[in-house]
Amino acid sequence: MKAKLLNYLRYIFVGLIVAMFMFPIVWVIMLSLKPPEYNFTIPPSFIFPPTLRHYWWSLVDPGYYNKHIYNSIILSSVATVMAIALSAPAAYAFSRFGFKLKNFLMGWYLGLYLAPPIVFLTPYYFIMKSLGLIGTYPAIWIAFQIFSVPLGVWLLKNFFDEVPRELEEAAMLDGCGRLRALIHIILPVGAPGFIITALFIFVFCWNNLLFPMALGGPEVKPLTLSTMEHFRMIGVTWNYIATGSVFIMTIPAIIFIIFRRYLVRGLMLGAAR
Amino acid sequence: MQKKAIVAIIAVVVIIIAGVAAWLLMAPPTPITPTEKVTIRVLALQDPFWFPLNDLIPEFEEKYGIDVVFEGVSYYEVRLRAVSAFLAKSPDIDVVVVDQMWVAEYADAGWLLPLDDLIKRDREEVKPDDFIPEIVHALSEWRGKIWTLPVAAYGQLVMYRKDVFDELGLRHPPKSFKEDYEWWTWDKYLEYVKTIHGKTINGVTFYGTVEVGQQPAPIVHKWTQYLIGMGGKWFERFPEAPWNFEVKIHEKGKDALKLFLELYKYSPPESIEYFWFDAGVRFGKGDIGILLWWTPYCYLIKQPEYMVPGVSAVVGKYDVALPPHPEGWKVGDHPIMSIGGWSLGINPYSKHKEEAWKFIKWATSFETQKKMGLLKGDWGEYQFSDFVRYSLYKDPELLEVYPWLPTQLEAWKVGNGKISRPMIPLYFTLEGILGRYLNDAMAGRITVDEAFEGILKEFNTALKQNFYLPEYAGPMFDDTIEYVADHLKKLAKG
Amino acid sequence: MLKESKYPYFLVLPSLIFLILLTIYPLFYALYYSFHYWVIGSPVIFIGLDNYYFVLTNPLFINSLIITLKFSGIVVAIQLLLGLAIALGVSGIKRGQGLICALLIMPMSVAPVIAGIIFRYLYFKGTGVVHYFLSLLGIPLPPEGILGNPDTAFWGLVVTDVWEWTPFISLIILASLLSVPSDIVEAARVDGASSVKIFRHITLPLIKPTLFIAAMLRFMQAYNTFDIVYVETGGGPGTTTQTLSHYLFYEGLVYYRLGYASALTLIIFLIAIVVINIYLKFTIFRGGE
Repeated sequence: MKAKLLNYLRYIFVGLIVAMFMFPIVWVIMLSLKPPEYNFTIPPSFIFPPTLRHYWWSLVDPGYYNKHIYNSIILSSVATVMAIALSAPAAYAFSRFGFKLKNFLMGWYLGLYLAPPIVFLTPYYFIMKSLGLIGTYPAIWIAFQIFSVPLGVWLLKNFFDEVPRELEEAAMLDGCGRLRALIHIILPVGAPGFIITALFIFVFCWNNLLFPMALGGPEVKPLTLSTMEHFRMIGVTWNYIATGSVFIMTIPAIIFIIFRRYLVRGLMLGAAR
Repeated sequence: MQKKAIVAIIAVVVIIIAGVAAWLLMAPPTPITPTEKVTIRVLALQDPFWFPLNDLIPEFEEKYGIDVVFEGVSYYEVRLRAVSAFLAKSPDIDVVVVDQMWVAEYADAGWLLPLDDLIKRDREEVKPDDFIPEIVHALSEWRGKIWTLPVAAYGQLVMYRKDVFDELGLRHPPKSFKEDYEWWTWDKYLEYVKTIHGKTINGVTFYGTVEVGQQPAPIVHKWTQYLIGMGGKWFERFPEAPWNFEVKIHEKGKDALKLFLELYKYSPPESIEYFWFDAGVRFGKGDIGILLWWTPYCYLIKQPEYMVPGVSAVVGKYDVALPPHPEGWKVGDHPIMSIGGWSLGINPYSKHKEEAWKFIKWATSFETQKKMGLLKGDWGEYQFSDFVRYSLYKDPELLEVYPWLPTQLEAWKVGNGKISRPMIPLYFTLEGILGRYLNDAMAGRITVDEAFEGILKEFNTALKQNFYLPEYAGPMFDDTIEYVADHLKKLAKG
Repeated sequence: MLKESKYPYFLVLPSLIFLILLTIYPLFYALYYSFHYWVIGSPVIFIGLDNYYFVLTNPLFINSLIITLKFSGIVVAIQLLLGLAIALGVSGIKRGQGLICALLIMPMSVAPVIAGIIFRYLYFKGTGVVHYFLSLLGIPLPPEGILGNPDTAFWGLVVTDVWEWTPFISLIILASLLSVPSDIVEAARVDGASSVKIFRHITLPLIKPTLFIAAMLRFMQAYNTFDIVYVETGGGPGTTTQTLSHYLFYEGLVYYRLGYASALTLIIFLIAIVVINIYLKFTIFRGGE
């Protein structure tokens, strides 16, 4: 039957796509397990005696990446919470109200996302220096907001838009205050949207390189920086880059896998209407 | 019902405030101890010197009772953080590692503490006349003062496969100027590269050499070695006074580029995108006949991966020799070797200048550098021979492990870092221009003449826009190696 | 609509204050120095609009602008089309959709810098898997390697960016596909409409807003592409892959031509705003959001 063939093709297509996109990731995982002699063989080696010594170096002795993993987590999670706290009210306002400066403000928020990040580096250094925050977590948490809040506002606004106004209007007609309506009605329905927004903001903070480079110090160095340091002018240690990359990929992946129900549920939000 | 919500919110806020207050109050008071332990922060990068030095830091901390935060970050981060700190007049960094061409910039901006007085004061310990003048000239001195102490110095030497040379009956290049060196010209070098290219020995098909084409910096490092090796220079007169920045780079530059393009023909074609380390790694793979490159590669090629223990394919099969020279050249004619490397400087805004100075003295001392050369770590073994002091080149233990030290020592005499890559603040812009055109020529997109047309035009624009032409607007200094040698001797005498 | 005229402003205020504080100083800093000559070690000299003139007449700037616009346009187009195809494919899969989504989000969670390093490793001549397999398939590859050849280096970067972001785009499109009311689709199918017709007349109009927004967001990111250029090609060979961000990085943080770089920053920003505005007008007229 035509439908069955189509379905077959669909599965093959998706399977191929997933394989192609996963391949570099799998390859990097392999690189992290290869003895250095196998890094650059001709032809590239798929079969090799795997070794854990690079992970040993990364996590145990000298445990090079431990602090950086911790830093990345702290930097990204707190920044995400801050961003959500700041952008949620604004997103709600943009979604539910029409007010004079609305379009201008929305455009301005979006425009910030366009600014080349480099322009912020030196001025932020000065600001943080005068606040005495260079090399501390708060400096980077604050700096991350410059792209997290615009992103958060836009994503959350779209998710709020998908929640029908009638829900809270009905609640308020019943005598609820707006705040209560928000907490009891909107939040539960919009929770998947919050979670997805938080996840995306988290990933963007997690992947960020420039702000920690400019404002940070050794105590707050995240994974992106420390992995990239192995790519030096005078020599590259690929296996350590590979282990660092694996750590960089794994933690958001784990979070996404944990929250995958919300991923799908958030995506299904509209269909449930 | 609404009241409950308000009460709940207020309660939460009160709890949070109470918690923060408690945390603040209960934080231990800053101890006022009679002897405060000083911590100094050193901002460095992970060039080969960093690894053994990092392993030796505990010794320093033990000996002097000073805690050290010894950072090894990426190249651009070193620059970004140092410049940001200087611009903000921040004491956050005490010792900063300085690349060869940054010294002029930082010194002119007042971002380094001049070290002459400190060197004179501690001359017994520092032994200034033990430093090799050519190195100090290239890495540490600007406008007559010494701003940093060199910690790792790089020259450029020839690494060649002695087994391949023997197999093909080629004469080994000279390791000393006391030998017969007149025959080792650029023409001979090219001839050897051609001879080796394409031959199959023990199952391996060889490339004559390996070039480096990544722009902007790697290709310029390679090409300026050819430039200076042929007696070329960038400007009419620099660094000897009076400075005249009329562009002369094309005079010998065209020949240097022609040679470079010829050599590229006998090099793996992908080397057009090679970074510094790619060339070294490639040589270590075992299919390259000759490599003329920075001296750290003399030892780096022993391990297949940077700072990871292992044995490459060329261990025991290669030797190191002097760089080639133009026909008819004699020692003393003009410099033929590029000099680069790293030095350590003190942040003038640092709050621990004495401790920073102690660190610099220790890191550049004979004892420490010898230990660095002999150290084994989880990064491998015997991975540092970028010595800056005469005494280190004469040490028997080091000579045993790094047999090319006598060659390296002699090569300094014919090197000049300020001619091959002028240490002017505009250097990076000019390097960027060069990198583009050289790379384009390497890719065959423009001819040699077109390349230099473009280079000259852009050089002149940049020099004019930055007040170097028609007349240099700033103060000048007669910057010669003789001056530096003299100066070091004076400091040694006190 | 509920009218409380002051209420929304209070809601917006916290984020607004934060962002104003974070943008005012950099803006004035850049503005001030854009009118001055300043490099490390030099005094700060007022030169009026000279920097702007230098930027706009600099062939390097024009070159990087063209390359950036070309790059952004191409990757966004590919990501939209490919993302749409993937989303359509995945939307029909009942089992394991969650797992597939979680897997597909992974490329995005690789930092662009790391993706650049990974792909550099994959493109190596001989030892890189991509190069090796392409040569096995008989595809002619330049002798200098994928990243060493001016024609292919650009596409090497395109592939890296496509790899990193297509799954993300496909998930966004998937989200809006799933929000298409199934009853309408069912009704149309019952009426005998073909899948293609359904897609063209029902699905596509409904997901258009999402497509436009996704394209816009992605374009804004691609416009500022820096990490992968820095690691994979250094802007080369020559200047064939130098994006605006990369060019700015060199002028600002390597050469430290701070005056020139400040003017360059503002120009880059202005161009972006103009492009986005044109895009928004274009999509609004076409019946977008």
